[in-house]
Amino acid sequence: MDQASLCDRPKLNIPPPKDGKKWKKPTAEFVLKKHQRKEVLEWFQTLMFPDGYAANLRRGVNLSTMRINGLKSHDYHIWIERLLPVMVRGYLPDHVWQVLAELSNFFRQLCAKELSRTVVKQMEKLAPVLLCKLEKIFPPGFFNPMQHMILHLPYEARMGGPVQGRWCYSIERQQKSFEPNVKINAK
Amino acid sequence: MDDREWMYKGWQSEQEYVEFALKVNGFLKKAFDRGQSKMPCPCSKCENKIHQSQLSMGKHIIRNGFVENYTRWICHGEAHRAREEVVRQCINDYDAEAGCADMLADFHEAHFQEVPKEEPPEPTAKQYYDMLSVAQKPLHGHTNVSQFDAIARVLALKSECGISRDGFDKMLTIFGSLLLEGHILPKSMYEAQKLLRSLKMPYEKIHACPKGCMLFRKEHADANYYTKCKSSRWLEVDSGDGQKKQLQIPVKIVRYLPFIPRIQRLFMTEESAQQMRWHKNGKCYRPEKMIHPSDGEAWKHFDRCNTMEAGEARNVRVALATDGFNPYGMTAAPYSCWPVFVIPLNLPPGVIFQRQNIFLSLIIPGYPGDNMSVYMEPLIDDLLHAWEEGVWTYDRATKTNFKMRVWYMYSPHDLPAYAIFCGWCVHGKFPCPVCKAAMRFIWLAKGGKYSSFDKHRQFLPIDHPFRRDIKNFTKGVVVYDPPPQMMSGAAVREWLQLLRVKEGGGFVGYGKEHAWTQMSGLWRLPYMDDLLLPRNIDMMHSEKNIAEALWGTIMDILDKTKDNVKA
Repeated sequence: MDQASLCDRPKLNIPPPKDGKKWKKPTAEFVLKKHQRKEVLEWFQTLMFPDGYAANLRRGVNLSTMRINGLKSHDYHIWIERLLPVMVRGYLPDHVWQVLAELSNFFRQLCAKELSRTVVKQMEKLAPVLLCKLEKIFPPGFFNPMQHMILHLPYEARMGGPVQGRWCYSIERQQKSFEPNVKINAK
Repeated sequence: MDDREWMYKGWQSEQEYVEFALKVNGFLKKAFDRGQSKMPCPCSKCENKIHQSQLSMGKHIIRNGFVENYTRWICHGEAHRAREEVVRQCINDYDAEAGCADMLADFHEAHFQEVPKEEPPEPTAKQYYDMLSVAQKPLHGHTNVSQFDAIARVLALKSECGISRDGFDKMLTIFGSLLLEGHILPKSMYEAQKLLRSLKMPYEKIHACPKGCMLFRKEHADANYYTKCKSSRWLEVDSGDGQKKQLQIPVKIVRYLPFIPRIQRLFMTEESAQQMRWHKNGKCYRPEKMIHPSDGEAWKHFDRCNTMEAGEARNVRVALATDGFNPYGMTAAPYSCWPVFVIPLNLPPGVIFQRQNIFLSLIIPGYPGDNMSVYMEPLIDDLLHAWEEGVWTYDRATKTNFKMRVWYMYSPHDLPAYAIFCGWCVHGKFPCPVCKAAMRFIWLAKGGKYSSFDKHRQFLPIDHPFRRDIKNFTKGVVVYDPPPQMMSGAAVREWLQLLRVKEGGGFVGYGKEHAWTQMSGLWRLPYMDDLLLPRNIDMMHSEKNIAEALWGTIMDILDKTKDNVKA
C-alpha cells in the first residue's frame, strides 16, 4: 500500500479485495515459488559443514511449515555469506540474483580476518550503489534502520580495523558464561 | 622407563633375533613373577585380550611379535602412565621457593617497590606482609610445604572438581587429622579464604537512586534521600503512625568492579605483559592487510594527536561494551541487567577477545535508559583519572614501574545499547546515530514505521544514472542533493553544549531537530574529539537482521516477510 503511493511498480501493488475476500498478493520476482521453496529446504537437509564451522542447520528444517526453526545469529552469518547466492541462483531472475550475490560478497569481504585497505576503500564507494540496487528490488517496508547501516559499515571498518575486534560475538559469549552463575533466590 | 625399542626392532631381523628372544624371556619372567598361571597375551593377534600361559605366550610373541604401541606393560604389572605421571608431577613440581612465593614476590614488587617516595598504604601493606609470613610458614615441623602453598593447592582442587563447601570442610578435617601434630592447615574454607583475601580483586557496591537520577557516592555518600526526586535510598516500610521508616536495605545497587587493578594484573605476568605491547612491537606478516584495531585509521589518528601518551606502547587502550542481559533465562521475568565490559585492545588479535581478557566492570540493575551516564560515572571517573594522572604499574616483562595511562578507544554495541550509550534515540525520524539529524527517514503510513527507502541516492556520485531515475525509486523524484557531511567529534560536542534543557527533563527540540536524550558521560573525557570512531555499529547484529529480513521475504514466510499487505 505504501509502495503504491511511493513507487511506480504496478506489478507489485496489491489491489484492494473485492467485498469480503482475502487480500491476494501478486507474486514478486524476488520471492521463491512454493515448489522452489520446498527444493531449497530439501537442499538444506543435505547440507554438511566442516567441523566447528556452523551449527547443524539440518536439524531445524521443518518441511510441513516450510521454515527453519531455531536459527541463531551465527547461522544467519553463514547463510548470508555462503548459502544465499547458491540458494537463489536459477530460481530468481538474474538481475535479482546478482544483487543478492553482491550483498553476500559485501558481507564476506567485510568479515574477513584480514582486511585489505584498498578493498575497504572500494567498498565504501560501493555501499550506496548496493543499497540503491536493493531499493530497486524490494518494497519500502524492507528498509528499516538496520538496512541503512550497510552504508556505514565499510567506513567503520576502515577506521576501526577488522570486524573481529568490533562485533558482539565475544561479548555475547562472555555473557552466556555468566548465566549459570546467576542464582535465583526466590525459588 | 628403559628403552623398549627392541620390542619392535628385533623381531624378524636376523642379527638381533637372539637378543630379541632373550629380552622376551626377560619380559615373560617379569610378567609371571607374581605366580599367576595365565596372563593377557601381548602378541599382535591376542592383543592383550586372551589369557595365555607363560609357555604359549612366549611362542605367540616370537611368532607374531608384540601388539603395537605396547611399550608400557600395563597388563603385566606396570603402572599406568597417566596416573603415574600425575602423581610424580605433584611431588616433583612442588618447590617452596618457586611457585607461590615467586608469585608473591612479583606481587610485592608490583605494589610496593619504587613507588616514588610514598609510603605504601598501611592496610594493604599490612595485609600483604601478613600474607607473606603465611606463605613462608611451613605447614608442620617435618616438611617444607608452606601453608600458603597448601591452601592454594586444595582450593585449586576444590574449584577443579567442584567440591561443595561442606564437602571441602570435611575434606580439610580429614587432611588435618592425617597431618602431624601442630600443623597449621586451616580447618574450614572460611579460614582458608581469609588468608588469601588480600590477593582478591577490589569490588564496590554503590547504592543508586531507584529512579536512576544519581549514585550515592562522593558528596552524596551519606545521604538518605536524593533531594531532587525525593526518592529514598533505603527500603521504606510503614511504621504504623502514617510515617515511613527506612530500613537498612538499599533499594538499588550498582556493582562496580574497578578495571584498572585488573589491567594492572595483566602486566604482572611476563607473558601477558609482553603481549600488551603487541600493537606496536608485534610482527605483521602482511603489512598491507588490516588485522588488528591498531591498523585502523582512527587509532593512527589518535596517535598523531596525542603523541606523548601514544608513544609508550604499554599504555592501554580499552573498548567498552554493554548489552542487555536477562539473567533468569529468556522466558522469565521481564528484567534485564546491563553489564558493562572493559576490553584492553593492546593484545594481539588472537588473544584480544579471549574470555579472560574481557573484564566485567559494571553491573547496572535494570534498563538504564536515559540515565546511562549516571551509572557510568564511576567508570568514567576512573578513565579520567587514568588519562590525566596515570597509574603506577609494575611491568613484569621489563621489571620496572611505569605510569600507565588508560584511554577509551571505541565501543562495540548492538543498536539499542548504542542508543543509550551515546544518548541518541534510535526510534523515530532520525534512527541513524551516525548520520544523526542529517538522515530523516520517511514515515510509511500504512506500514506504521519509518523507512530509509530512497534515502541513499544522495550518497552516490553526482553523475550516477540512479540519481536521475524516476521510475525505480520514488516515482517522479530526481535527487541532486550532495551527501550529508559526517560530523566530527568537536562539532558534536559543540552541538550538545548548545542544547538547552527543557523543564521537566529532556532537551528543547527533541524529536524535531535532533534526538538527543542525554549528554553521554563519555564527553567528559578530554580526548573525545580526537576519536574518529567513538562508537561502532555491531556487524553481527546488522548482518543478522538483514539476513533475517531477506530470509523472510525470499521464502515468503507469512509473518516475517516485508513484502506484505502493509508494504
